[in-house]
Amino acid sequence: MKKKLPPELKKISQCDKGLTFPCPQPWPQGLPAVAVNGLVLAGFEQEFVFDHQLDVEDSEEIAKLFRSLYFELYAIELSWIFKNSKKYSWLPVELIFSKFNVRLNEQIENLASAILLLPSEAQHYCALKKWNFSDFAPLAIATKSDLNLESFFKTLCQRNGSKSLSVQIFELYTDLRLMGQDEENLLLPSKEISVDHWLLALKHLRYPQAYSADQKASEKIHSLGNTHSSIAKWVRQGDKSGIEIRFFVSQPSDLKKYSNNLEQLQIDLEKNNPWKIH
Amino acid sequence: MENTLIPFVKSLEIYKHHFEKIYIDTKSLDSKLAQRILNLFPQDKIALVDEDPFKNHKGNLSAEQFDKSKKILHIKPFAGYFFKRCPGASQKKILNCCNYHVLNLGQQCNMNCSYCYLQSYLNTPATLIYSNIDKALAELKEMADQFPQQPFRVGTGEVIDSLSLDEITLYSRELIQFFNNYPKWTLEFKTKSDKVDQFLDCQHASNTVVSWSMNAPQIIESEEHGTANLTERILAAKKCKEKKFPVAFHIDPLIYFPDWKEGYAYLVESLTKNFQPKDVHAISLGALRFQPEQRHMMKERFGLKSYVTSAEMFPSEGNKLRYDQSLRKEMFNFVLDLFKANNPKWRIFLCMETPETWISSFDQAPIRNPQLKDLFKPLPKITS
Repeated sequence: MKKKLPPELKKISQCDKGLTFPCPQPWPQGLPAVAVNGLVLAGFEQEFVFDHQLDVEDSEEIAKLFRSLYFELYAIELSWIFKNSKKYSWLPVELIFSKFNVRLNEQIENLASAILLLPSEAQHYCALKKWNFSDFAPLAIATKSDLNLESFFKTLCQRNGSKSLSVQIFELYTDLRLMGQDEENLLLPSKEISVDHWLLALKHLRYPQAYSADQKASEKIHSLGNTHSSIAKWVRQGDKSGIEIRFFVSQPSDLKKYSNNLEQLQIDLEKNNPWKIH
Repeated sequence: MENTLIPFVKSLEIYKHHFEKIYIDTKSLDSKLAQRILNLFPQDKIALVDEDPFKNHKGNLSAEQFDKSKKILHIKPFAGYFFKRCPGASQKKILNCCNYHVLNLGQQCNMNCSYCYLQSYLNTPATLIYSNIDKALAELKEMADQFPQQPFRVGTGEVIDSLSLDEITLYSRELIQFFNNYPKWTLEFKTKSDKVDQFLDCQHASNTVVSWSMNAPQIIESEEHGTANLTERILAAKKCKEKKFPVAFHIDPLIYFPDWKEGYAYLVESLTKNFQPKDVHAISLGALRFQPEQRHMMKERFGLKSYVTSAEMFPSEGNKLRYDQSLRKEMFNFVLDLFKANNPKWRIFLCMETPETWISSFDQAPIRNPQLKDLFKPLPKITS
């Protein structure tokens, strides 16, 4: 075991910057970069670097140092680290990944390679939105099927939807393209349409039977008149769909009114059963 | 040495072609299984290993690794506990489950169904067959001696097909013989193969149920790759029936496709034409379901044109993806009605379904159904 020495302050040009990867969080200005055994780990744009001399056998120590430099790293940054670390066999990449809760295996390696083929704008967007490897899962089949995702990611970046919506849209889009749908049918035709509506439109295409049945059931509820449709709404909850009843009571007599309405709703639903559509 | 000599390997050439490499752990060398494999397979395919060749593998398998794992056979002793409850039993609050226990004598499968749940379950890049069946039988004996009068049902087809590699292992013969000593206990083989000839001559106590996972011919053709076709499965079941083995059928998973009604009507007709309710121990119905994380692996391996990967699936209670509940109900009722119309005596139950679906299909929970309550009656808890 090499004796642990204090880090040495050097000019960054004296160190190897081969691990450089894009990181959404900038390194604090004025703080020297950090290197281990001459390899810069963070602060790639700095002028000076604290170079730690650590025993290459001491993987845990190296991984711990790496972990301490970043509050969080997600799929984009980790993919770059995976790629750029290949020439540094002593760098404990698997252990470093595990410190960011990612188990490096063939599945992740394949995904990392596919992620780095995405246009840089898409990578930047996904890094900002903190996409995990699991969010990129549809990329495996898309890559295998040579699916061109350039226009898709261009639209996604422009619309800047939330991560949750974007990830859902990505999977639905990939599925639908591979099910034979044309790109033009699936990309947003107009900037007026919100990302939520885009998601909904894709859901309608991906789940045509369930959604068209839901739509018909919803229309049936509406057809029962305003009294019912003001409190009853057809909703889907996972593998079930049904009626959600909502009302607001501001005085005890409201309850009587709603209770009468509910009785009538039951009668009307029995006559005109929306579940029969399914 | 009886097992190593019985020439029950009709499909030997297929197996020789299927397996690219066979690893035999040196600790397994004295087992009948290892000796049999050494006799049957070409030596250049076999490697004797002192330690696990896959010990460095970590985490989930990639799609390529999963495909490859079907072609690599690893014979080794199993260090853990063989006998456990069916996974459905751990979700009793959500599902009605039928007291099934499982004995895993290996894992992975040489067939290739698009919906196979092993895709989200396995993390070993090889097909495992455990050589120490004697330990498994000792465990069973301990349990069976403790509860000889309880109607335990033990299946061997949870994480490996019970019979598709049985011509190589001949484990069926040892199990049938063992269960002869415990007539109240039931052994259940579950398969999509037609490999039954290797045990048909065995004396049995009518407590070995040979069961087939059955499906509409269109689904067998498009989703159950490398399995026996419907006619072959029915022929194999008839052979078992002739030798007085009780048979059972699992119409599971029911899969939606454009002509599903014709497909499943044909299946029901094929079964009711060839079997009577008295010949069939039970018929279980289940609809397509899988863990959400499995969908990516399935899409990668089978594309999006498959009836399974392109299906409309939604998250359900218990987190699995399932068809819309109303579609499940429609499919169950369609198949149930066909059986009922043929003969009300068919003994049918739903596998891994919620109480609501049970009640909407049968008008009652299984424990209240006179034909099924034996299957669902709570049994003593086994601690492993």
